[in-house]
Parts: sequence; structure tokens; C-alpha cells
Amino acid sequence: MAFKAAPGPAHMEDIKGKVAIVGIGEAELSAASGRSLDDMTFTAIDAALADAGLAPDQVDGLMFSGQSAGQVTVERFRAHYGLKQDIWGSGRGGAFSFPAIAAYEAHAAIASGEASVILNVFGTNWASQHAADEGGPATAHLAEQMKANAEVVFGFIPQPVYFAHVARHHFEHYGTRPEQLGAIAVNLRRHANGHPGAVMRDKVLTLEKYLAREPFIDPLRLEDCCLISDGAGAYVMTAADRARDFPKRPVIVEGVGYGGAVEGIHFAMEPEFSSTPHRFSAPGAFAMAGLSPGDVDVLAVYDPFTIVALMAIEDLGFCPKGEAGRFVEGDRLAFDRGRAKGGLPFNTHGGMLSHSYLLGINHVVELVRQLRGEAANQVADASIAVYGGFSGVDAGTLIMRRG
Amino acid sequence: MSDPKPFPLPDLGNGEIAPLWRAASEHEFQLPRCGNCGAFDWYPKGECKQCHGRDIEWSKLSGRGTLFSWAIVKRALHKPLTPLAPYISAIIAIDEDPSTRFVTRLIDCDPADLHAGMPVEVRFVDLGYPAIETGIVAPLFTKNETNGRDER
Repeated sequence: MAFKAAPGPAHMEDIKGKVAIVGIGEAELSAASGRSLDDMTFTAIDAALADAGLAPDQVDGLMFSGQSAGQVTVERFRAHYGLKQDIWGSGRGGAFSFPAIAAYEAHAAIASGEASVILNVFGTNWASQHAADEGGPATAHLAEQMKANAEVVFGFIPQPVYFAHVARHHFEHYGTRPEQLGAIAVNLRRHANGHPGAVMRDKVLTLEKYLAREPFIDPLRLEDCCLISDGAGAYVMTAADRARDFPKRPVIVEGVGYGGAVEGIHFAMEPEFSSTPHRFSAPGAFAMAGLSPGDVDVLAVYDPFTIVALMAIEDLGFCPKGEAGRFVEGDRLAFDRGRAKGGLPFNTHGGMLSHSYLLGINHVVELVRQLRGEAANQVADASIAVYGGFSGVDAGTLIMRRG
Repeated sequence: MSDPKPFPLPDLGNGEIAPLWRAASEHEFQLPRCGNCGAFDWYPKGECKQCHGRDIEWSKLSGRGTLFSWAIVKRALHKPLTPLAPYISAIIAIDEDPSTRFVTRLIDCDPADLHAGMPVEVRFVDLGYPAIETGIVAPLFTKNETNGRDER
């Protein structure tokens, strides 16, 4: 059931309707806080278990980010709760693209009898690390040999420089304009202003204010870049046919898809420079679900930069390639416009740009709230939701339905 | 304030990339190329992407290209690069094969002048030009005013 992070779309077996999400939890999301990663992650796990009506000893599977430092692993999970039982574990969970495809590996574990109740967890203290000038998002890029010798030395680092190039390329090739990136920032800020958990809940952003700010890595402005946050998130997966045993209305996984960038971490060499691997991951997920982008009520995508959000909208198939600039203008992405009125409710918690940078796991938490009907910025009658996960080197697509 | 961090320098002992820097020190722009079919192997994979040949050689190029994309870095977020800002980060499409890109910086250019497809040419100057001296000669690029065909 394993799949490789190879270029292009991955083949995935059909898991439509097999897995349910039955519990969600978060730790408080914030700027640099000095909180420990363990404390935040176990706070999120406690919240997810309480939401699912579970005790820690009823968990027999744990997915976490094996590529990220300081995550709660099986050993730490067992030790924290004083558990004796066997726990199935996978380091191919956590954040980035993995919240989109965690259900796939979870299903394999459920089907083989290795696990029945599986947590996916992720925590980050990048805000505290950043304040202390250590670690953070650029770490993996600085360590890569070719980049160190042929990019960093020329000043091509870190991610805001990469994605300023990508934005410029999109501008030059498709006629996309700064105020269109601004429309994304403004709509997501409005969502954060209506969301009690959002880091930017009290800071208002208008398009005038956005445009008045000078670009700092031209063409990107500060508001085109995501927050750096402290926080944690978790959710509980189980077999869909058991979902009714849990207290909250379940959310059913209808489709998953995965795809790798052609040149991996060497973004500068990617043949389709202003595209994302969402173009590889989305078609398989929609085919598995038997749905199309037109059926989706609410979309959440990994949005480290406004330009990545914009490319995701077109690469996931919500508009033709190159037309997302015009597509996102005005209030089209607002939660209260809705598909019937030509809108596309998008990152209704405020995304990484204005809610928090929890690397995507909180996007899934938000979509579960939408499908339960308990979101702060509730999309009317939301029944189909999509998460587009992304890491630069890969993308994952998760399609969920109200159970 | 802590001490300023050292400016990042290439590892001249790294076999995969050292020929680029050795050539630059002799004012030549070289990239690895398939000895059989001529396709570029950049970044080096050690095998030709066209004919899968393994006879890869570093070859001298014209040093001309066109501007593929760029970013004007007014504030460097990677602290060791702070003394360089403001600078123009750039990706060049090389004339010998425009599908082959080279990451570099543009120097002595007016940011308002730039557009995709603008002809550029290599200039061999100090990697830290014009802000600091590193002692390493680098292939930086500037607008080509004389030769080259503007694609726009």
C-alpha cells in the first residue's frame, strides 16, 4: 500500500468511503510563546480524544511527521499516558502533504488489523525557534548540497525568495497582478477576523492597506507570506463502518491523491515553474471520489504564500491554468458567498496567511468543523470539502464528505 | 546584537560543483553537458536526461541568456546575506538551451527595466559584488545591451 514520492501522479488503491475522521483537537495557536512542543502536542491530542469520546488507552495507531524534529512518536505517546498496549506507528503523517493522505496509510493499517483507532498529530514551535534565530522553514533547504553551492551563495534562499520568483513568472506569463494576490490575503484575513482561534483575529487588512505596503521581496509583500507560529493539531481516524459509535457527526474520506514535483527540492529547475504538484495529485482524488471541483463546497489549501494559494486553485482544477488571478478577485473566496453565487469558500479559518502556520493539519481540522456545521465562518450546508496539502516537493489531495 | 554571520561561500572542494567555480575564476562560464548528444546535465545527475549517456563533460558556454524570472530582495531574511541587500535574485535561461536554467544575481541593472526574456550576459566579478569582497569570482549577470535578441 506504500507509494513513492516520485515525479508525477502516484497510483493509489481505492479507499472511497472506508475511513472516517471522528475527532479533532488543537492547542492554542500563537506567535512565539516559549511553550514546549510536547506540551502543545499533547494538549491537541487530549482535545482530539475528548472530542471523539476516547481514552488514551483506546488509541492503537499514531501517525506523525518523521521528517520534523521533536514530534510525538509512539514511544513518547506511550510514555506520556503510561500505556502498555502495542501501538502501530507511521512517520508518514503529521503535516505538509501528509494530512491529505494519512487516511490512505491508516486504511491499510485498519484493513490488516494492525490498528483500529489512529491519531494523526503535528506540532510546531517554529515561532519560538525563529525568535531565537535557530531552525525554521529554511533548515532543510540550507542543508541540501546543490542549493548550498549553487543557490544560497547567490542569495536564492529562503522560501520567500523562491516564491517571489514564482509569482513574477506567473505575472509575466499569465498577466496576474499584485492586487489579485492581495484579494487572497484580504479574504483570508477577514476569515481570521471572524475566527476565535486565529492568530490574526484582531488585525484588519484592506486591499488599500495591502497595496500601500512596499514589497520587501518584490513582487511579494509581507502580507503575501504566511505567519510563523507555535501550536499543534490532531485528529482521530477509524473505519467508516464504526463511525456511528462516536459522539460527533463523522466525516468520511471519499478520495485521496498524491503527486511529486518533477525536480524535487530544486524548485528553480521545475519544468512547469509556476505550477504545483497539485496538478498531479488532484485528478486521482477526484476520480476516486467520483466528484469534480464543481461539487466542492469548501476548499482549504496549504498556503505558505498567496501565490501558492493562487496556483493551487488552478492546479486543483477550480479554474483553467493561468486564470486564477481573475478568479480570486473581489469576494469570491469569502466563506459567505458560496458556490451557488459563483464563489469558492477558501481557507475559512484564515489559512497559514492569517490563522496560523501549523503546516496544514489545522486546515483539515477546520474542514471537519465545516462538514459538522460547527465552524466559526460556517459555509451554508457544506457537504463536500477538499484539502490540498503541499510541501513544494509534493502535493496531496483529500476529499471529504459529511457523514 | 550577535556577531554578523559569515557570508555563504561555495565549497570549492565539492567535486559535483567545483568545476563551475574553477571555470569562473578563469572567467569562463561552464556547465556540464553530455559528450554524446550535447544535452545539459544541470543540476548534475551524472547521466544524460536525453540519451542516458554517462560521458558528461564541463563545457564552455557563451555566457549569454535571457531573463527567466527574478525577485528584488530589499531585505535578506537569511541573515548571512544581510550585507548584500538590496539585490536582484535571478534565474537565467541559457542561450545554448533555454530549457536549462541558471540561478544567479543580476548586477548593475535598474529593477524597473526588467522583463521576462530580456537578454543578459555573464560578468565575472566577486561573489559579493558590489557590497562585500569574498575573494571568490562568480558568474553574475547583467543586461546585454549589444548582442542578443529581445524575446518580447
